Amino acid sequence: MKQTSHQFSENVTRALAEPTLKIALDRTTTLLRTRRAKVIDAFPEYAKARETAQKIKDHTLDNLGHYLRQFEENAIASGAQVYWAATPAEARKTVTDICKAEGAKTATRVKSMLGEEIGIGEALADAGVERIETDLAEHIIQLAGDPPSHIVMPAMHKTQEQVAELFAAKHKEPSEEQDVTSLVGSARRELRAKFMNADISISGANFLIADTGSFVTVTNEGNAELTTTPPKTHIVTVGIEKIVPSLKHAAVFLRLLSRAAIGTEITQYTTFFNGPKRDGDRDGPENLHIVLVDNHRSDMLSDFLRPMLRCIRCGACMNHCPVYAAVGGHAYGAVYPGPMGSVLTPAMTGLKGSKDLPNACTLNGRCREVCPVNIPLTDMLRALRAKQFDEGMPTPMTKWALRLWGVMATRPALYRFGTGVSNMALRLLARGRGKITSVPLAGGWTRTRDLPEPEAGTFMQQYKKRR
Amino acid sequence: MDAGHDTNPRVGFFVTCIVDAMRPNIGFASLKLLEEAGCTVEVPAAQTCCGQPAFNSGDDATTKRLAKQVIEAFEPYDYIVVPSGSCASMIRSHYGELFDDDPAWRDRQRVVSAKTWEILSFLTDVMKYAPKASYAGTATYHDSCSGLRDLGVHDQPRALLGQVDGLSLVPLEGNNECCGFGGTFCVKYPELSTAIVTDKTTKIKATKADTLLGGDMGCLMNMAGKLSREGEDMRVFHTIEVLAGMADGPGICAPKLK
Amino acid sequence: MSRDAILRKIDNANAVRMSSDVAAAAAALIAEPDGYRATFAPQSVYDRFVAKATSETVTATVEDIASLEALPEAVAAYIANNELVPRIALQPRDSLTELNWSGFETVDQAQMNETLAVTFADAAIAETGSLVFRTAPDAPVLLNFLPLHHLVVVRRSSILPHMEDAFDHFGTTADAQRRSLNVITGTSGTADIEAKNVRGAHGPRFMHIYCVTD
Repeated sequence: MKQTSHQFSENVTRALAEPTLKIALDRTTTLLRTRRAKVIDAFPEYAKARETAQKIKDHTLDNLGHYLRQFEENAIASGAQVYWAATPAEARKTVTDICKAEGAKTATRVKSMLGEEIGIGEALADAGVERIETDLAEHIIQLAGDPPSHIVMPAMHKTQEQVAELFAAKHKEPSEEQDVTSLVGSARRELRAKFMNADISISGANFLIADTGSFVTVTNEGNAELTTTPPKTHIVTVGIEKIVPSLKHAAVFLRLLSRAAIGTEITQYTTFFNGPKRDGDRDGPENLHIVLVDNHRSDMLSDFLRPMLRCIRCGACMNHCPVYAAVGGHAYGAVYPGPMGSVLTPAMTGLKGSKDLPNACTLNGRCREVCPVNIPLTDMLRALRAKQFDEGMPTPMTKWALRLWGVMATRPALYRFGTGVSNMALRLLARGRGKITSVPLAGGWTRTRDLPEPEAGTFMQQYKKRR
Repeated sequence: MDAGHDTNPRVGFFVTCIVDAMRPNIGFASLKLLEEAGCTVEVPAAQTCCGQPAFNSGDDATTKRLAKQVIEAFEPYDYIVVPSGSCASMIRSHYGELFDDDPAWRDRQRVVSAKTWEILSFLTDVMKYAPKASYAGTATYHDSCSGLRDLGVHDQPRALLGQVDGLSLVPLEGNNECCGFGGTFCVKYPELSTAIVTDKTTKIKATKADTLLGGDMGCLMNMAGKLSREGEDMRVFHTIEVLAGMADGPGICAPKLK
Repeated sequence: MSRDAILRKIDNANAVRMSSDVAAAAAALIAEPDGYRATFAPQSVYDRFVAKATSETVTATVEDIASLEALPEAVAAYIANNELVPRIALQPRDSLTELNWSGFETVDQAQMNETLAVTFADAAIAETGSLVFRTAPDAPVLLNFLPLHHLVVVRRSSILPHMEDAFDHFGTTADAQRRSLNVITGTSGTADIEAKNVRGAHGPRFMHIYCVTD
C-alpha cells in the first residue's frame, strides 16, 4: 500500500468528515471491547497467563538466533524450503521467483499482516499471478480496492450497508437479502471454486515452533486450511519474531490471542503445519516454502523498541484506542494502524515519514492495559517523542515555546509573574462571563470548546494574601 | 516512614500548574480537607510544574531540570500530595525514568516518588478520612487515565462521595475511557481531541446527571468546555471541591452567580 | 547472504543476554501450566467438553452413542431430521468404512459443495470444546472443511483435558504430529462485517459430535 503517514493531519480531517466511518467504527469496536471484557472476566488465570506469555516472548527474543536456527533445521527436515529476507523487496523477490518457477497463474491468499507489510500484492502482480483474497474482510477490501484498516478486521471501516452494495455490484450471484448471514453466503458462493482451483496458496503464520519446525495458523473462517490444502505449492511469509520454543509454549499464546482479539476462548481453526504432503496423504501441497522476514526486527532487538517484538497482532490496542475509534485505521497511512502501528511504522519505515504517529496519542494507557503480552506501548511512544526531540524534529515554533516555558518554569519567581499576567489577560477575555469563547493562539481549543474564566488571582497570589 | 507520621504528617502540597492558574478553589479545598484529616500542610514556594508537558513532548533535559526542582522543594516532607492523578503519576511513576545514569539523584528521586500521593487516594488510603459535606444533586464520575491506570485511583473517590449527604452517584458508560484532553495533545491535535471529547459528552449527557465530577482539572476543563459550548448547564467540579463543601460557587465554565 | 547477515545482527544484539541453558530456561517457564489455564477436576472432563462444545460461541451439538456400530443409525436420524439427501462423504478410515452404511451413498472425498461429511477426531480437548484431527492417508484434511454439515465421531476415552495433553498424546515431534494437526472448535464463523457473528463463512455451518461411550 502507499504509505501516507507523513500527511496524518490531512488524513484525520478526511476521516472525520466521512459520516459512515464513525458509524462502522462505533458498531464494531464497542462489540469487540464488550466481548473481550466478558471473556477476560471469565478467565481468572488471565494475569498469570499474560505474565507467562510475556516471559516466554522475552526468553525467546533473548535467544532468538538459537531458536531461528533450530526452526530452520527442523523445518528443512520436514521437507520445507526455508528462505531469509532482510527487506520487503527481498521477500517480494523470493515470492515472485517461486511463482514464476511454478508457472503459477492464480494464487489464493490467507490474510496476514506480514504479507501486507512486504507488499505481497505487488509481488504477485510482478509474477503475473492473479491474487484471490479468501478472508472475508480481505475479500471485501479487495473488491473495494481499499487497503486494510485493522490488523484483525481489515474491513472494519465498512458498514453492513456498504458491503451489501459492494457485493450486489461485484458478485456473480449476490443474495437478494442484505442481512449479514446472506452477505456471508454470497461470499461463500463466490469463493468456493477459487479455493479448489488455485495454483499457489500464500499464508502467513501466527507462530513458528522452533523444536518441531512447525508453523501455526489461526482463523475463525477455516480459510487457512481451505486455501492451503488444494494448491500444489504453499508459500508462507512470516516475521522472525513469531517464533516460540515449543508446541506447549504456543498453547499459552493461543489462550490469549483470541480472547484479546475478538473475545472468544480460542479461534475455531488452529492448525499446526509440519511440512508438505507426506507419502500416502490424499491432500496437501507438494511444495512448502517458508520465507523468514526481518524488515528491521533485528534493529528493534537492540534498542528501546525491543518489547514491541512481543506483539502477537491481536488488535486489542486499537480496539481500545480513542484515536483509532475516532478516525479508523486508514488515517494512520501505514500497514499497521493504532497504538502498535504508531510504534512499528517509525521502526520499519523511519521516524521522518511518520512524525505525527507517536504524538497523536493522549498517553491514556488503555492500550497497554489490554495488551495480552504487556507491551509498554505508551512508554515507547513517549520514547519515540524523545528521540524526535533529540533529532531536532519538532517544529521551531514548538521548540521555541517549550524552551521559553522551560526557562519560566525553572524560575519560580519569574513563573509567578508570568502566570499572574496570563491570569489577568484571560479574565479580560472572559469579561466576567465565566467562560472564554475565543483565545488568540488557542483556536484549536476554543473553536469547539469554551475555556473557563480563571479565578481572580492565581492560587499562589491568593495563598500569599491569606497567610 | 515511622508510624507517627500517619497521625499528624507534614504534607507538602503540590498545587499543579492548572489549578494554580485556573481554579485555585481546588487548591484551597485541598488544604481544608488535608488539615481536617490531621495533616500539617505547607505550600513550598519553589514549585511551578511537575514537568509533564516537557516529558510528553520528548524534552527530557527540561523535564529533568523541573524534576530536580520538585525533588529539592519537596524532599523535607513526609508526604507530597497532589490534587491531580496525572501530575501525581508524573512524580510517582515517571520520574524514575529520568535518572538512570545519575545515581545520586536517582536515590533522592526514589524517596520523593514513593511518598507522592494523589489527594483522593491519600485521604482514603493513608488518612482514613471521612468527609462531612453535603451536596444536592445527582453526579456522574469520570476516571482520569493516569490516576486510574498508573495509581489505581478508582474506588477511593466513590467511597468518599458515597459519604456526602444529598449526593447520589450514577455510573458513566465508558468512565475509564480517555476524554481526549491529553495535555499537549489537545493543542497539537484539536480535531482529534474534539472528536474524542464529543463521544465523552454524549455519554455524560446520557446519564441525566446534573453534575460531572472527576479528579483532574485538565480533563474537567476539557469536558466542561465542551459541555458549555454545547449549551449544557451541567455543573462540573473537582471532587475535592464537593468533599470540602466548597462546590457552592459556579462550576467550571459556568457563569458567575455572585 | 541475508540469512547470515540477519543472524549476525541478532546475535550481536543478544550478545549479553543469551541464556546459558536455553532448554532448561524454556521448560521452567511452562512448568506450572495450571497457573495459566482453566482447571477442572479429572472426573469432569467429559462434562466440561460437552458444555464448551455446545456453548454459545462454539455452537456444536453433542450426542452420546453406545458404540461405533450405532453410528449409521444415528447419522440416518440426523439426515432425516435435517431433510438432507442420503449422501455421506465418509472419511476413508477402516473403523468407519467397515460399518453398515446401506441406504446411503458414501464417497471417500468431499466435492466442492459437499453437504455432509462424517470424520473421526483423534482426540478432543475439554478446556475449549475442541476436536483434534491428525492428517493421515486415511484422514485427509478437506473432509473437515468442505461440507456444510460436519459430523464428527470421537471416543469418550480420547477426550483430554488440555491442548498440552493432546501434544503429549500424539508425541511432540514433527514426525509424530504428521503433516498437520487441525484443532477445530465448532464451525466456520466470521465477524468481519460489523463484528456480527455469522456461521458457515467458508467451511461447515453445522457441527454435530457423536461421543462413543464404549
